[in-house]
Amino acid sequence: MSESVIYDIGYQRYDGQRLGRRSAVVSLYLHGLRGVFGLGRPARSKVLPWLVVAIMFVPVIVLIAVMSRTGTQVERYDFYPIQLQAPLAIFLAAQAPELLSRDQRYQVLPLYFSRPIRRSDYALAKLAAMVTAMFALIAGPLFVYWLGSIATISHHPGDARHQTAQFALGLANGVFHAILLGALGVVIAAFARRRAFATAAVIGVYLITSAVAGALSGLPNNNGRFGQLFSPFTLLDGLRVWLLHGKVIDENAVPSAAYGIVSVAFVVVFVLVLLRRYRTIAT
Amino acid sequence: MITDQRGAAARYRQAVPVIETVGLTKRYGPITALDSLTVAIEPGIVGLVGANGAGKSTLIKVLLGLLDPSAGGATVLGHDIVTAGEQVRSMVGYMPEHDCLPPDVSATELVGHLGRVAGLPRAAARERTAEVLRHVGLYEERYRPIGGYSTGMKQRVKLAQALVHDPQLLLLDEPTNGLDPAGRDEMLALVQRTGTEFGMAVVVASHLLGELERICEHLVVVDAGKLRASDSIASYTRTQQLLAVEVDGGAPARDALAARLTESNIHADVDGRALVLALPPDDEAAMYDAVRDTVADLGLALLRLEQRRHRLSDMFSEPRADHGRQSEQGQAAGV
Repeated sequence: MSESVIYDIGYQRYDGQRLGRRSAVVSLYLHGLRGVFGLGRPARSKVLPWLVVAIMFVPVIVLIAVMSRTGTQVERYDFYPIQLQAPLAIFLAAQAPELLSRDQRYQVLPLYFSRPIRRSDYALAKLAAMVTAMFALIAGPLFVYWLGSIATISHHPGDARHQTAQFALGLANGVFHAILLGALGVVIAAFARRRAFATAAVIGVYLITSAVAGALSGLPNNNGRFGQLFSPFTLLDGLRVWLLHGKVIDENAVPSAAYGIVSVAFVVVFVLVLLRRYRTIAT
Repeated sequence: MITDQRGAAARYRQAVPVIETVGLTKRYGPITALDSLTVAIEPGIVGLVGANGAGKSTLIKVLLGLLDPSAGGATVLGHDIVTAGEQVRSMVGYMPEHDCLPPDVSATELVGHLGRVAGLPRAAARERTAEVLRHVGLYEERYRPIGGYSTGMKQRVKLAQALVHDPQLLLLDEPTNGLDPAGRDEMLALVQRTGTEFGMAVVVASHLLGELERICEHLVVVDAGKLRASDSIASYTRTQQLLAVEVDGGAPARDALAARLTESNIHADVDGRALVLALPPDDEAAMYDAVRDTVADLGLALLRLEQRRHRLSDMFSEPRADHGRQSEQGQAAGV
């Protein structure tokens, strides 16, 4: 009897520390964040996220090169996510399902929900992971751009201060993008068991809302301008202009505050729908 | 160390029931999956047996808080499943019946992650992941993506993730699902070892009575969401030693023997061409003698006289036979 036990070092009882729910949620968040970038996954899961990361950095490198030649800044920080919306949208459409649809498709949820976390913890940790990933995707290149600007065109302390202030505005804009787009992608992916459906749905929302906003803008007397509030591109651009520069794009445009109100409303609705989805999801 | 574990195990085994349900009911629309089930499950390895759809998985999911009960209540390890679900879940390990493993991560990555979600610190999660994967018999392959694993390996990973946080109670739902005979034997041995050597309370749900017979100390039988029986394996088998007798001469000879035995106050049931009678545990020899003498008196040729391997399914089929559903049950709880 004792012989088999002596050689069996496989299983031991555990008497050590047990951390609470908070630690569990943090680990869920970190695992999600790693997963979004394909870390801890096979090489093929890393291709798309890191391709997008590379694409996000290319314009920054070019802009820094131009600055070092010409000595003038050609682009403002807060413009960045607008110009790189396509890679951001692709990243969101591809990786939000990686975060949520996958656990539904392979029926992993019972393994999580049979552990001492709440369903809302799971949903919010995944949302936070997606938002963080989107923010990192925007903030990383901006940080390099800021370093480049300091190195190439800041000759006086005032220049550096100006650059830093602009960088801060760029980060704030990145936060808006990350929250709104992250919540949009996550709430769509939460309803799709299949990755491909979730990806198509996210892209579909982008394309359809843009098309509708574009079509409405052609209405006479500018009556269709409110369509801008319902496309992620135009909504975020309006929000950027209002919050960071405090001005209206033109006289006939949507009242600026509407961008803020609609953005907040969208995020609140997305989060509530997400929480409800996971409260009622069958396991 | 070892004696400490055993001591703790022994102490634990004297403790209160690990699971206690009172009038537990779960309805899905018009379907009642659990029908006011009241049962107390003691520590040890306990089998939860019933046909597919009898309510085994539903019971486990309700206990874990994966499903809300429609009525009644339950405690697991002394905690209420509704008001203290998080405490319950921190002390329980669950192995689902269905596939539940993402294919694109390694066993190490998944089990370590789930250990952390169960509350283990990072270093402890890593250490215990290595230990439990070794315990379930996964070695080099644990660094490869799970998608490439065989069914047997996947079942082992499912067991490992249920063990990683060292639960006090293991709830295993059909742990031998999809395994070949050798794989079944290995999985059952693993479950038995986990339960006996480490004093962990284990509840194994299965529709395969034969498997539960081998590893369980206690059986809980559910049928259509209701409790049918709950008793130790020993008490089932004590009443279930059977003797099968077959004589030459077909049904007339068989019935003649049955009639003569009945005269001697020995009750015999007809089972095909054979007669089956109960062996009294205290005096088996006398029964053998009585049968031999009766056959000889009738001048019949004895073809077969064998002690039946006790089959719990025979026992469970009896109440069903009253409803004239014996054959159906034989398949449902079949071995």
